[in-house]
This record gives sequence, C-alpha cells and structure tokens, in this order.
Amino acid sequence: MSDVDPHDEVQELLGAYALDAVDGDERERVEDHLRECARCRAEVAQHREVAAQLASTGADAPEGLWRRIAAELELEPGAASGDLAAILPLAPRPASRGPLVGIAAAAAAVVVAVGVLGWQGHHDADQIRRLRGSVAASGVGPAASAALADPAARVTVLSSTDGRVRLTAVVEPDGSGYLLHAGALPALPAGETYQLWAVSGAARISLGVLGGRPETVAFHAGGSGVGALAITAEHGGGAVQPTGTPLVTGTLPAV
Amino acid sequence: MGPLRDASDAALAVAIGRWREDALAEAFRRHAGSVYALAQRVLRDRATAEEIVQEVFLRLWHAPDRFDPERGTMRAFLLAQAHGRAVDRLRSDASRRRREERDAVRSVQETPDVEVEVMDLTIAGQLKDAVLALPADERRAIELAYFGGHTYREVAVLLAAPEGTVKSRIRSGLKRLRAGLADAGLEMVGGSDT
Repeated sequence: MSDVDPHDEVQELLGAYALDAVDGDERERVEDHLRECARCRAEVAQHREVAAQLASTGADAPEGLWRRIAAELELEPGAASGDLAAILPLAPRPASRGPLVGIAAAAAAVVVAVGVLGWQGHHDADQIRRLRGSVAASGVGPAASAALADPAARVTVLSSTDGRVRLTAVVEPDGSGYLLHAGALPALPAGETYQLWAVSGAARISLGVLGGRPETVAFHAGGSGVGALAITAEHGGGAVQPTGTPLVTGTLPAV
Repeated sequence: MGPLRDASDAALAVAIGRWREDALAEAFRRHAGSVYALAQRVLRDRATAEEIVQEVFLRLWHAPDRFDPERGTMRAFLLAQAHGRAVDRLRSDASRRRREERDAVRSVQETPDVEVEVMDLTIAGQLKDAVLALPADERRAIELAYFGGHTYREVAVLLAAPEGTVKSRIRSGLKRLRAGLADAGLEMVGGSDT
C-alpha cells in the first residue's frame, strides 16, 4: 500500500463513495481528501448528478405526504408551547429574516410573515382558540366578542417577523373588524402613533390611526379584497401611505 | 407571491431560507416523487421511505444553505441525502440481517435480474440509450450499489468479482453514463469535466 499515491487510491473510490457504497473508514478517508481536493469534489458532484438522472421518475410522492410535512413545520418545539419567549431562540437565519427597510419592503414583509405564520400556525390556532374561549374574561367589548364567536369571521394573528409581538385581528364578513390585545404593541414615544393598514394587492389602505398605546380597536376593513393587515408606527396624525416597515403583519384567510 | 413554478433551484433555496412554505412546497412538488421512489427502492419499505422523504424536506427547510446551487442541482442534492439515509437504515444491524438472509436465498435460487435493483427502463429515451450502452458488468455493479444499497465489497461478493474490479466498474460506468448523456445532448451540471 505504501507505493500507492493516496490521491489515486481515493480517486478509485469516488464512484462507490458517491453511491454510498463504501465502508465507514473508507468514507472518512474520502471525505478527508475531499476537503482538500476541489477536483475530486467536482467528480463526486458529477457522479451524483448522473445517479440523480437514474433515480428520476415522473411519479408523484404518496398522497398526504406533503400535508404531514407541512404539519411538522407548524409543530416546531416552542412554537406550540404558548410561551412567546420560547419562540425567540428558534428564530435562526437572522441574515434572511433581518429588518426590512423601506416602503417597497412592505410587501416582502407580508410574505415573510406568511412564512412565519405557517411556522407558528399551530400556536396561532391555539391562541385563537383560547381567545375565542375566554373573550368575556379578557375584557374585549361585546361586539368584538360576538365577532370572534362568529364562524364566518376571518381571524388572523398579526406578528412581528421575530414573533415577539403578536396580536389578534378578527374581520366580520361585512368588514367590521377588531384588533384584540393591541396592548401587546410597545408604547410609542409622544408624537408617534400606530396606524393600521389593509393590504389589498399592491395597495395599502389606511384603516385608522390607533394612538401610541392602543388597546382593543374597532375598524372597518372594506370588502373581501383585503388579504392582509399591517401596523406601522407613524409620526403625529398618521400618514397617507405607510412610511416605515410594518411592525406586525398578518394574512387573512381567504373568504 | 412570485412565479415559483418557474423559479430556479437557487431562487427556490433563497425563498425557503426566508421561511416561505410555498417554496418548500414547490421543491416537494418537483422532487419528492423521485426522492420517495429512490428510498422505496433501496429499502423496499413504504413507511420508512415516507419517513425519509419527510426528513429530507424538513432538513431542507431548516438548513437550506446546505444546498449549494454552484455544486449541483437540488434534485441531486435531495436524492443524495435520501440515498445516504436509506443506506444508513439498511446497514443498521437488524435490517442488515434480514437483508443478508434475503440475499442468501436469492443467490441460492439464482433468481434472474428482474427485481427492484434493476434500472427502470421506462425512463426517458436518451437516458435509456445511455444506460443500454453501458457494458453489462458496469451497469450491474451500479444497480446493485445504488438501488440495492450494497457496498462495493458486497457487490463484489454478489457478482463473484474482485473488489478492486467492482470499485473501478462503478466509477467507469458512472463516467460512461455521463459522457453518454452529454453526447445525447442532455446537459449535465455539477462541476466541469477534468
């Protein structure tokens, strides 16, 4: 063995390695070598592309498999615990989920929120269920209480991208809506106000200025074209169009 | 939402990195059938194959940066992950024993190669031509290793051929297939030829 160039010896294994057809210690030897040798890495990649061609089929995955995977996405540890703090360590990839800047990013923020909500959907369902069950005790007005109890109403959780701030909105089929637990929004300094927006396609329509320390809020959301709700912080009496990134966003279920 | 159906592998991976569930769903739509079929073929067990599909796509969801579009297609990446997992399971002690018993029975009966380990020749024309152009011993070595989940040493025993020969056949067969596919105009990614 001492006469054999280690590179040649490993090279001979690359085909078998790419097909997972080597023993454990050979595998280690190959991988040690691959760390240093771009040419051999390229060869393994090529073998795997060929293997992928052999394994490609037009058949679909078994029925129901995607639903099971999607359910797993919602059952992340922490997300279902009901403890918002527990969600925070689960917010990885800060690079791709960092603060979004500018009005143009508003739509992107809504998209991000959809992903976050998908991920926390189970938790949201719990929160909505709990809210629906404890409306009287939570001091929400009777109209909001009735809206929550209405099965035809659309309910969403507005969430910040990091999941830290979450409040619930309910919109009745006639457009009357209520923002619950808006106290979850941190108090703003004097001279600033929260403002609620309806997101309808590319349009942002103001639904009202909420003040710097909102509690339960009633609003009117117009027709079923409203796909999402967002809240920004604005100066003084509010803005005609959102001037900042939404702090929280929530997608309304389709009618 | 963007036109995900036309998104490149790289764009899809970026969208998955932004927690877009619809992007993961699109990756699943494109590749899960093949991922499942490969795992099922190696393991011959539907439930475990489904488990592997779940693992592979959940891993893509949580660590999309493990996929490097510079180095290959998403399909090859996912299939390699699934194959590795399937083979790990196969080589765990319990299943290994069952497997060896099956193989023993098969070699006694000298069953012809009509089993699952044989390449699926209902595949597309160009690929089929390339596969059929392979020398039979190269093709058989690849089949047993890839679809059978055997190590090249096991393949050597099954084919009563020297280990070194089998090792070379697998590699040369894969290279020949790649060249055949390239000749047929099937564009192959995954690094330039050296």
